[in-house]
Amino acid sequence: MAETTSNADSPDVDLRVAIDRSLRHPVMFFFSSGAVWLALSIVLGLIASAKKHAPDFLSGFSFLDAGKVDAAHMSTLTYGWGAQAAFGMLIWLMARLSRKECTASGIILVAGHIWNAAVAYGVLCIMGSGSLGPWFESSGIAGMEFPGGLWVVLLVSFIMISIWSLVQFQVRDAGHVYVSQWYLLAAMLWLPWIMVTAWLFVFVFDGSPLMATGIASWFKGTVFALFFLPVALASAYYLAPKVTGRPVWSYNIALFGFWSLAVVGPWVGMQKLAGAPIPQFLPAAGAAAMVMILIPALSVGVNILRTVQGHGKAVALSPSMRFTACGIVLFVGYGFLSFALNNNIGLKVSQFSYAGYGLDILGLYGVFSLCAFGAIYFIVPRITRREWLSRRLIRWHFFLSLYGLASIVICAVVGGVFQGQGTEDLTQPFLTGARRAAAYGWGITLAWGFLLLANLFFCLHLLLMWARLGRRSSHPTLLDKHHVESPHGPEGEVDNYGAATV
Amino acid sequence: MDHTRDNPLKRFAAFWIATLLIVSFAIACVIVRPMTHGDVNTVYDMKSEARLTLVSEARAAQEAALDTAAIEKAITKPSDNLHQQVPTPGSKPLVAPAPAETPKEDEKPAPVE
Repeated sequence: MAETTSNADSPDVDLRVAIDRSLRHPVMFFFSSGAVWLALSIVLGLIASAKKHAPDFLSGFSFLDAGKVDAAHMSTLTYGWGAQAAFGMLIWLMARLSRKECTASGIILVAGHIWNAAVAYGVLCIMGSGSLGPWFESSGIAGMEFPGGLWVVLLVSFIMISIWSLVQFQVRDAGHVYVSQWYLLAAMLWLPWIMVTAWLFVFVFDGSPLMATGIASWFKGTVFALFFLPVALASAYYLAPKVTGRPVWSYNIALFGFWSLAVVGPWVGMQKLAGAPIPQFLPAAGAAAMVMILIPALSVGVNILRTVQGHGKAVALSPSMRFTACGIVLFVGYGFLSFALNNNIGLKVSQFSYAGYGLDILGLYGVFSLCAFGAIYFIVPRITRREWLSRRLIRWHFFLSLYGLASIVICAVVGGVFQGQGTEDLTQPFLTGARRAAAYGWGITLAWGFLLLANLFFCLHLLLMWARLGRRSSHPTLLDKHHVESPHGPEGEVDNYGAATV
Repeated sequence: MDHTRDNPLKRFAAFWIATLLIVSFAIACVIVRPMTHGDVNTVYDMKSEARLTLVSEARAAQEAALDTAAIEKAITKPSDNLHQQVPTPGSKPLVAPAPAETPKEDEKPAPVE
């Protein structure tokens, strides 16, 4: 998988340039609109967090009720930012690895606009429920708050975006199938499977409302385990060998990690309904799967970190590798935390407390988003043919993201454990649990402020790149002002830049 | 480009295979659904039948234990007594108005010398 950049021959470089050019508009559209949604999501997260410890905050606005703003925050984070970042990564990585130009960028771009319009309408429905009229009503089902019909629009948009990548994979030149391609292919098939299943059983078939809640919970869990996680891991398996110039450390471990995720992933999600009057094997299986997610986490973590071992300088200097390596380390952390919070002791204190939220944010922001940022810092200069404007903005984005995320997760998990213990203690009034967590709630709100600042830098930087205002340089942006030698190779021989004037 | 692997026909076929694969997920759900739905209903109906039998037995037992004639008699007797106790006008003592309040010592007019 490792591709050396210094001896790339001209037809190869031309092909990469052609692939990048064919995907320039849809990929930049997904990344830029995703970044705007991320900023909005963090603002909503900040308000939602503040309402948990200061219920009177913005209480005069009905569209900012605690339940609405919390659902809007998670929906924008998942479908506004996460999904679009994943689409951009998915279509670019698959085209590059299959070595095929995209012939349907116009259709993908149209589908991207439809996706954005659908998410915007869904968020309006969540926030305007009960006040904007009958056309703006949320489904009210936790984890699938968008109206029932909207899921069809999202599914059709996703198919219009991803089906061309499936075609590219099918008609690729004969040869090796890369580890990244396994994950991308799986993500492209798993997401429609879980979307179709969840939509039919929740909104179409006439069944028990309690099971509909359970299926929505399963959907929320599997969207992360079977879509966001594979795309993030595909990016990591692409970037680690690419930046360091070494092959993946062990293909056997990569294979084991992939299949362990494929076996464990489809079971996650229903642990949120532990104790509910549904067949008890369902939450038990969900909790067991969340515990066993440690297996793929360790496999991938060991494999990627051993691949980049001995290339500490490349990891530290390359923005893409720094974010990616950090995301992979956090994936291992996610595995351990998931193990701790979802066993039969941990679940009692995490199920109805901040702790479960902390785990969700660690997965979506810590693991997926950091890997996505890494991919964006790698892909955008190649498709815009410009280099990032400011090292300082990238550094601030990295450190504020890392510290903000760490603060959220630590406050949520520690506060959540105290909150859960307070709730479980039947000799105390119910409010004891909430009081114990209030101080940690302040910490979470403050940490969202850090993340907002980080992502305003990122969003601004990305929009400037979209406007083609980046540096005209053939040298990659590195996070060291005084570097002598680039880990990407000598000046002027970076990947596709040799053919930039063609 | 390897034209044996990548040609318009291959791409067309790949597109429709992918589409059918995704549609097959929905078809699988539609096939599976009556099985799951049927099982749930059967168990529910079985439980409902037992519950309804129990309820009808309890209702029948209550009906059998109910002596309506005795209840009628028991209700009629006190109600007759109550009817007999209806007061006639003038049978109750009238409440007399309160006597006028005597002025306090310091409010009395001063004695004439």
